[in-house]
Amino acid sequence: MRRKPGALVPLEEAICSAAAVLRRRGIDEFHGYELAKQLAEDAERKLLTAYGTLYRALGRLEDMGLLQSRREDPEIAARENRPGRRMYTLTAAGEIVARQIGAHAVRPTRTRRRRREVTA
Amino acid sequence: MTPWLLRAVAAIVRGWTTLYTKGLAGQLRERRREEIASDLWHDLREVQRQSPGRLAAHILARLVLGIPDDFRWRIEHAALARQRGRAILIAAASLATVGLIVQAVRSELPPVPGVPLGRADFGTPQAPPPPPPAPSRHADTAADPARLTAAYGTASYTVTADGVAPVRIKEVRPIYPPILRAAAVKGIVIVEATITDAGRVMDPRVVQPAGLLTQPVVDAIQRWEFAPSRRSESAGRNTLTVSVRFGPES
Repeated sequence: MRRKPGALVPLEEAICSAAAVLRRRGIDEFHGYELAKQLAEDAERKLLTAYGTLYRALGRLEDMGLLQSRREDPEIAARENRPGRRMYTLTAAGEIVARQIGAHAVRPTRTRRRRREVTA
Repeated sequence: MTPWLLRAVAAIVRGWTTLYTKGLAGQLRERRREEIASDLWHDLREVQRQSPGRLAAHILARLVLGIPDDFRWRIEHAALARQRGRAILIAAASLATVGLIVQAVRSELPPVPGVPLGRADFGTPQAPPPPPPAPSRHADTAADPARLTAAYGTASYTVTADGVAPVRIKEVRPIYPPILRAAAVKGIVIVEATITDAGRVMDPRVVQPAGLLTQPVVDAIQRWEFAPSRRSESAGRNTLTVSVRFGPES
């Protein structure tokens, strides 16, 4: 089924939510494996998201402006004797989407935040 | 020492990645290969917590279940590369054609009055250019952007606060650039920003841009002012979200 332009599939929504969870835990930037672990934890399953599926979704979210990425400094990877990582972070638009997804998924019984809507 | 089973599975993953990224643009290809290599490295470290057989099955499952998306990704990027190549060729051909036309037309144009043609014309007084015609009262303003009266986008905003939401005391309306209004360019711009305790709007973040309509919104909201928060009311961050609609009726 062809997706509507700008619409997110469930995995992409889950990625935005997982990225927001990581941010709340103080992890502003994450790599693909870290995200896959968070996704598995959120879904309470052991099998991590498939390689092709995960990185294709990350690429799409970056194209949509919900994530941005950068290549890790190669010196860090060389020092730690491992392959270089691509680090992703949620953009402002991605945060809003994650909040909207969270609002649909969970109904808080009490909130301290007030909203005032004004039309100029 | 990684067991032979895991080395074999890792080689399969790397081999497959090399295969489906073959022939793509260098940066794209290397980026995908690096990401898979990094992910695989983390997976292999799990051998400290899982049996090699179980881990090998896990890695193979991650590989096999992602193959359809690998194909789709490859097709998407190969198509994009072909489209980009075609677009570049068309743009180059168009520029070359326009350049040739301009050259041909320039050589056919008569000399412009008042512009010296060469040494023989120095010192020769040139007739002053005729004054521009007086503007007609019935001129169509939509066709002349310079004559348009100022117009603004229609703004709405929300303030999200932990305590009492600050009240706006100064508004600056985002200008609808005349040339864009004349061209009936429309759109909706959404910008988020932070309201400080002093009531200033700082750190604007564009949530939804709309091309050239975006900057007037960013410029305007940074000049908004809100009533300063009292210490007892200021419990956290105040977030301003502004949505501005630009359209022919603005």
